[in-house]
Amino acid sequence: MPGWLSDRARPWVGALCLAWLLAMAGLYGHYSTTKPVGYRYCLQHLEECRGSTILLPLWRVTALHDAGYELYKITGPIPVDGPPEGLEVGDTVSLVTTFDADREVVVEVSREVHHLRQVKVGLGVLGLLFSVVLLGVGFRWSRAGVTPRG
Amino acid sequence: MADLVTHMATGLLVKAATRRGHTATLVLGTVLPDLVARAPGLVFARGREAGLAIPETWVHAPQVAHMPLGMLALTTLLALFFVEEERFEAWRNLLGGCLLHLALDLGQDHMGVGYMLAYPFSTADFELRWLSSEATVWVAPWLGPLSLWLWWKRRPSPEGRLQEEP
Repeated sequence: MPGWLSDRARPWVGALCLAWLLAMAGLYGHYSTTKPVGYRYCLQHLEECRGSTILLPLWRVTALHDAGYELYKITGPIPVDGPPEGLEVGDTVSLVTTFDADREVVVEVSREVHHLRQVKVGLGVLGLLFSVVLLGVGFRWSRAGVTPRG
Repeated sequence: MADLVTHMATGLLVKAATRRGHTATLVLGTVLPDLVARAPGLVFARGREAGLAIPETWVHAPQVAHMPLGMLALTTLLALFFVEEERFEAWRNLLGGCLLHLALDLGQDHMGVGYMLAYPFSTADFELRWLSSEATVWVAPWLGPLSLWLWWKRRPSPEGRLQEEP
């Protein structure tokens, strides 16, 4: 076993890993909310973004209107100029859009509706339950540490 | 991300093929990126949508557990909870599971918005765009039971595992 995984090195290595993860998380959180792409950025830079393409992978439909609909994912809602036919509130869609700076909306160019998204979420929940079972069945837990059962 | 059942199945298939121990550790590694990165992100995102005052950075920050350098730190941290004599194998299997997870996810298509492989040193992203993001939904119902059966048939005996250890 390498020395950096020994009991002696454990506190230092643990602290280093935790610090690295927290630093990465902090950096990425900042990067994700300030990166120069997307609808929010374009609202603040109308001329720069006029007519530019905005990709919206896996966004959720939150409202339907006569000539458009709204999307949400972490932020929003984003107004979309596109046919609402075939969509329901709660659907997940991926869109290629262009930014209309005058109306401050995105215009749908192409659309993919993810009809199986809820099935995938269900499989995710099932996987989560299996993981909990795995933690109980696959490992022996004691004060000395975790031991795999096989 | 592919679904969790398919991710777990890939771990079982690797162990069925290699007939090595630490099955649970590798399988745990295959779900770790989604459990640590995606699950909290989804919960925080839904909370924000429901009007809770959750900072947006909280939604994004856990995603580093789905990046190679985040996986490296996370698996090392978790391996430290194992008893000393199992720690190195635990770390190898946890990290191997995470990389298996990432390899499967890289095959998916999110319109070219891929996975960051070198963050924080680069923000370039990559994906192979071979599979739709729901493609594994058709695979999971049969691959899950099949992989479990294959692993069960070929699992190493407790004696065999002890013999492998010095």
